[in-house]
Amino acid sequence: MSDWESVIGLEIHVQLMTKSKIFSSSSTAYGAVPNEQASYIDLGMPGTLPVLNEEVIKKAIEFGLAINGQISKKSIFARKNYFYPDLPKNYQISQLDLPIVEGGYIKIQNDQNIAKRINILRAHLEEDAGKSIHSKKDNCTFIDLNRAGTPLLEVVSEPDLRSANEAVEYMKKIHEIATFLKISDGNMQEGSFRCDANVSVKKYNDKELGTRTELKNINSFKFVEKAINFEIQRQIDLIEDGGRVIQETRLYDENKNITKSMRSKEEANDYRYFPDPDLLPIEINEKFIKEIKDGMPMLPDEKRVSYQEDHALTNEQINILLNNSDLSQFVDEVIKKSKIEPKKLMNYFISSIYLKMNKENLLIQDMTITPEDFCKIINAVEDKKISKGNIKQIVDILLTTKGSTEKIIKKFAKAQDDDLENIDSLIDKVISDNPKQVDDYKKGKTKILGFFVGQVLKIAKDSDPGLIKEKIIKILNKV
Amino acid sequence: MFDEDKVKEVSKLAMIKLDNDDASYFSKEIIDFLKLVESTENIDLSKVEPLYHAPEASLILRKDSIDDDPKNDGINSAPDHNGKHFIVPKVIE
Amino acid sequence: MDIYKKSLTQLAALLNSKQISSKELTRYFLKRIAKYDSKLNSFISVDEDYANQQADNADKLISAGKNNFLTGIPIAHKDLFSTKDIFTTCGSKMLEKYLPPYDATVVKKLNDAGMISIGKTNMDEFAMGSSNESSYFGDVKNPWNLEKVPGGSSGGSASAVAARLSPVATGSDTGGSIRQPAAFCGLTGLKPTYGSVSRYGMIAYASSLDQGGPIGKSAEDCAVIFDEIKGFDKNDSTSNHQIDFKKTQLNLTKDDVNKITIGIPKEYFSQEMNEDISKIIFQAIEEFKNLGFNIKDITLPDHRYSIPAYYIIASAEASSNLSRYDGVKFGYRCQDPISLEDLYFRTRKEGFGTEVKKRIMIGTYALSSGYYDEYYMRALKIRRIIRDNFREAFKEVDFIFSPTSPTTAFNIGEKTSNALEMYLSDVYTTPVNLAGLPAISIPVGFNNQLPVGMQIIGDYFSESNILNIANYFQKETDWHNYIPEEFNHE
Repeated sequence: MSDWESVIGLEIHVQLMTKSKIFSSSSTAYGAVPNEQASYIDLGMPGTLPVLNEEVIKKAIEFGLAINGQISKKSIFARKNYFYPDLPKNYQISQLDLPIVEGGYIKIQNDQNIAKRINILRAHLEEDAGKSIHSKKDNCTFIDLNRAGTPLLEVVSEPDLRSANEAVEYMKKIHEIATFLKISDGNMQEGSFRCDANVSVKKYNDKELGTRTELKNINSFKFVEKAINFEIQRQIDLIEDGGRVIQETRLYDENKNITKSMRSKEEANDYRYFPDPDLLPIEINEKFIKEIKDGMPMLPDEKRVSYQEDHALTNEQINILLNNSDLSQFVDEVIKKSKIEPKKLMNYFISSIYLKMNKENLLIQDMTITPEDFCKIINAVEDKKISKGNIKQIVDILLTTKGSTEKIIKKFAKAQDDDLENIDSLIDKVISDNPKQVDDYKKGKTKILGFFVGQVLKIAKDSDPGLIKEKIIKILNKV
Repeated sequence: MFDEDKVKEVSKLAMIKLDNDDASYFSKEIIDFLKLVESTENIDLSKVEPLYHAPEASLILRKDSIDDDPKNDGINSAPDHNGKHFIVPKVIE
Repeated sequence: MDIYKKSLTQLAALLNSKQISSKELTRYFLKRIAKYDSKLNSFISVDEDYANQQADNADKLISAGKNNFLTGIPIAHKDLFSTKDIFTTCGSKMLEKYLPPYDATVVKKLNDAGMISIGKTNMDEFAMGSSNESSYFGDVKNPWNLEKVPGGSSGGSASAVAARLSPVATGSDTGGSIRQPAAFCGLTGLKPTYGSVSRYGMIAYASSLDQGGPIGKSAEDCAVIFDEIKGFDKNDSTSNHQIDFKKTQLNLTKDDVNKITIGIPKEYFSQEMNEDISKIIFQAIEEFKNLGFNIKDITLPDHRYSIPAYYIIASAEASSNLSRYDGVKFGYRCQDPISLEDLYFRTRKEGFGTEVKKRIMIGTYALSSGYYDEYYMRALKIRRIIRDNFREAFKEVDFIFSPTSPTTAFNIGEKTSNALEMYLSDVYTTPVNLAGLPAISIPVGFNNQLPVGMQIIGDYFSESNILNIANYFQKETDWHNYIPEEFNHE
């Protein structure tokens, strides 16, 4: 393996998060009843014509700007002609010459943990095909055209990747950009983010690239890594055994962890690309690009640096925020309004709101809690009016009832005060009940504090251990 | 060079079945037609750009909104369907 | 009353003054169709009940005073315009039983204007033809001589209007399919500027060339219909959204006329031209001169390359546009397909006619790897050259005149075994489509008792002007008023 080098390029299909399809006004929502979101245009009924969705262009430009690519001033749609039942017109409207984005790059950490630039050849727009469901039982194929016409941005990298790990890093980076900028929901299970990998091997010294195979439609980071690793080894073994790698398409079998040759439906097809005469060239001027650029949030990489340098957040915390721009927006607001150290603030956030979101599959936008609300709650914790444990409880209440945040905090604060009174008498009781341990403490066994705290907590379960410890020390010092 | 073999190749791309008679008929017809095209061979087009549309115009875009009265009954026109899916003979993969 | 002779304006007046009802008018034409169409085969389908129902609705509007100018007047639609729940066949077995679930924009506009859709007219299969001899539903005959072709591909529309079975009809023109049948049948047919009439619902042949337009008894009638159907349509990305499509005013004065210059391309009147036709066209030009127009010689040096360029571009686009006919979602499907491939191969073999298959294969070849540059690209470059020819010419003249066709209507069957000859007869019409310009064909005489048509070409979006000068000519001449003997009575 040591004198072999693998050369990998990825083609990622990013489904754009628009309300309607690229050339028709059908909904793009996932999971609809079959063919319920397939209009006459989607079906390619005689006489229908494509009409371009402006949001698709905006999102493509945003992506192009985010990867430092060139936005084409003039961009053309072309027909890719081939026959397949999930392709209603038997041609796909795609782009060949003059794609909307040319060039670009992103940076990843390579296997030696050094920053590496991965160049991107192009990103172009195309319409998605429908779905075929093959039925052995009925000896036929069922076609659902709901997905036909959904907008895709196909991002093609240069073959700059040198390992499965780098490929996954690259894929994750693209995923992060696409989801953070709300260009795509990036949901791989639903097919919003699909990856094809071109893999070849060569000896380090060889100048010429080896023959490459295409691994198709791998839909998770984990499987991308496994599939590529398998394929690299398969090719190496094949060549070392005296064989030759054939240029072909292969499918990854996740159960057996192997790739197998696919009898391609597009076997050496001549696609006869030509500019689609039902569409005119898209003309994009500087003003439009600038408008979009000005409206874009900070890019994930820049945000990461900002979180690291300005707020000293941990990598784990940053990943959570970069995974969801709504979350980062929320937390940014809270950080602005609160004096609490951001790392600590973030921990409060994770153990309360974030936890709840994940448990109950909620979106931050759906939660009836504002950054101000959250700020008030955690400030009260810092002021010791309420305990850490109360945060979760108050969040729950705010999400289910319409109460005023201050009122709820006051209620908990009062309860804590009451508890504290009770705690004082409880502590007195525990101390007077355990004279031997008091003696031990006085003799210098400070670790026995834990015992006292434990005894109090047995009864006052929700109390703040730190607070209790403090009180016990105070009292013990008086004794 | 266009000939019967080429016709067969092209008919496969176009997904049109040809009998042997068809192949020879179409090949003759198309060869004749291509002679017409030969008459343009002598023009110097090296400095000419292709013209895709005339008059030339710019593309107008549509707002990203969903049909409030979506028409999804197109499936009823299909020769073989079960109301939910289009049905075709099994695809061999 | 001689209703069949009346213009749209005259019919509108009769309806409005309640001298006749829409029901009566519609029945009148349905009767003519029933009586005469067996000789012509100009209609593929006529739905009498539907027509009468529409007429009833029209009459209600007229009584209530809520009618438009065209309310209650029948019109025939070429069978490539989608008509909701009414068979739209494109003259093909592939769509023999196809019922569109929606109306073409052109149809919708004319329905909204109150017109009565009286039937779907016959046409060359998928609009590919110049003689209406390739229809799955049989040949159409020319009312002037039943042994002659009416022209194509809008042969049914032309035949129906010439025989006065419908006051007016819609057609489509990709390489001459409105103008040439209009010329062969002694009618006026307008091909508008590319992008001025919506193609939504007009079943596609060649997307960058197709345009819908009227075929009528006069320029005046064509103007009325054109005004209804023109305009930007958000459902058609190639329809023009910048032009202000104003209503056509037919108000040319003698003073205007004296300022107008007409160009006569010297290449068009070469040795290849039929002497008799030449003579008639020159007589018409002379007439224009007498009316006060200025005549000037111009050159269109590269027009003869338009035919190969046209057929390559049109076939290439068609080969892709017709890929959707595969037996899966609509249209014909072969019996008992044993596999997906079998479904495709046999459906398309059986569903398409010979000319369509031939053009699909030419188009597929022209776009295929290794041939794209040699055929498709070169054709697009020739297109630019031809467009530039016109651009230069319009710097010197306002309109260009030419014969519409090198011959008058030929015999049915005469050219079917000689496709090239058929293609070459499109020499005057195809350059106009390649350049996307507007043009009209008007009748200007007879040769051996067959109509001769002359083409008037204008610059982009000058339909109003074209219609004006055609109308001016028709006010002073009679050629457009002649009616074929056999149909010139009730």
